[in-house]
Amino acid sequence: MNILLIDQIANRAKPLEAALTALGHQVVVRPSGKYTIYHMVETFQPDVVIVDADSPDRDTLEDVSATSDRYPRPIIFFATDEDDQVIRQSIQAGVSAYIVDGLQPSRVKTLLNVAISRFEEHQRLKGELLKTRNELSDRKILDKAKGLLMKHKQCDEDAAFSAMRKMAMNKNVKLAEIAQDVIDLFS
Amino acid sequence: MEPINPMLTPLIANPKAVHIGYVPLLDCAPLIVAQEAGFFAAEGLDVSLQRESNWASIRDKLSLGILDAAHILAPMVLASQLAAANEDGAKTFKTALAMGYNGNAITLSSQLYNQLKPSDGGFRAIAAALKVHLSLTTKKLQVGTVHPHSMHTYLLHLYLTRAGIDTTRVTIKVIPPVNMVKAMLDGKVDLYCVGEPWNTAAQIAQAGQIICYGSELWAHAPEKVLGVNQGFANTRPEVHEKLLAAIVRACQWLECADHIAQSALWMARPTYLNCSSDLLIQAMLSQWHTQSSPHQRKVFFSDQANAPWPAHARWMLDAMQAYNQIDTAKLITSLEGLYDWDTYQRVMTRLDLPTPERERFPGLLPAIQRATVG
Repeated sequence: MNILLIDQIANRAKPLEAALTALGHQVVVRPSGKYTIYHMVETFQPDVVIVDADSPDRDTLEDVSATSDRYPRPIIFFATDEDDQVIRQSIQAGVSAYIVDGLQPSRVKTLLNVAISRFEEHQRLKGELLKTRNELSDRKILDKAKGLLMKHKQCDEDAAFSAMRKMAMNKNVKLAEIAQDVIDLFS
Repeated sequence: MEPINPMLTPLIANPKAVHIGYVPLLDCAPLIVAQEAGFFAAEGLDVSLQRESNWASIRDKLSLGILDAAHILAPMVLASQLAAANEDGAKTFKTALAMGYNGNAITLSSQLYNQLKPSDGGFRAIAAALKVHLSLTTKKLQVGTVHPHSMHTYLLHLYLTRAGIDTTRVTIKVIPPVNMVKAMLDGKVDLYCVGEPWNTAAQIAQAGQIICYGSELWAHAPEKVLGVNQGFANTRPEVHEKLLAAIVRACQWLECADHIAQSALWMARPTYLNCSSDLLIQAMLSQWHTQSSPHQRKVFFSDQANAPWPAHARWMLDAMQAYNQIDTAKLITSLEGLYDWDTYQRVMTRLDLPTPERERFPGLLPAIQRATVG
């Protein structure tokens, strides 16, 4: 994996870099606030970003994950003064995965796995939500189209529906697309 | 007297203690003034102010209750609620107090400004010259904002619309305020919208020229609010109201021009903004001196600047939709729990200050033009 490590505290980043490299990852270490994040992300294409929780660059990273399909990557934070309770809470709330300062390199692998699986879970939920939303809007379109057909062709609901289904089958397109055509035609 | 049973002492170690986060910008002034001038102490509060270097961190800590309250970008209150509704309904935060109108400006790099040669330094002339410049090049205009969910982003869209510049001709990037001036000097950004002192600082460093004040685009624009953790507001309503009362007093105090030097000295301290007090005085002087002119900039108190206007919240939700940040605002069915007018009203009554009517926003709302879907 490509891992981008952003931290201003060199002796915190060093042992972590060594541990990650030993696990076989490609690591790029970059001090906070030096070069533009956009450029780094584009050229290095990290799979995971590990960043100092107090870095001003966090807001930029949020924009990177919000605007690009390719980079909603798991982001792990260094935190200095939070206790275990807070870290647990944050992970539960889905805010982020926090790594405590003074991290044991032996725990790196576990934390990476936790962050990645949380990220994948998040992506799955997001995908499901999108699917549900699409289905809901498909149904609305279908209902509207049915109503329009019934009005203009003076038929009942079943006849309107089977007419659309037949058209969809003949043209080999989705029912929702036919419904949209009907709406465009009559309204 | 009976001996005190230690088991009956409250769980909160110090019932007066409140943790408030802020990002080091000029508009966190009400918090620093309330602390240093003793408005928090006068309400019997023991406030600790915690400096944060990014908005994401403020938002996370406020959601989790690591911070009780914080100086936060107004659109973030709504954006966080929408995100929570989308996911697992995690606890979020709300606001019952705005920390003033405006305070942002748009700065153009000196390099580009000198190339443009506008007929005068006014809004129209510069916007027209910028449009001509873009028509002669294929390069996109590199534009900086402080966070996707910020008034800075929306003011940039309003500016581009008024200048007649198509959003497909610009690339908007998030740059932390502390790095804005350097990014402009390095040629990484052509134009940005940020709060003070980072516009004045660009002029002093001869990196850029202020070409438009936020108030020229919208005279009563929202900016920062005091976000409060939901749990804090529910379990300690008394403390919440005292906190708001102290901040309203500080806002009132800040509107007196005689207090500029003192507040700049407090804010410049290493524990707060850690910058030169001269820079802050310059940034603040221009704010106060222009107050009678149409280029009024930061307003901390006048015109009911502390009201959590529902009109603001609705406008920001519209902006989020128009600029393709969210697909629907329908998930927020009511602003009641988010923009808490009742608490604001109680605080104003307690301070013997007039409370406006909830739906009588004193300003106009700028029209939003949909961004091109890119």
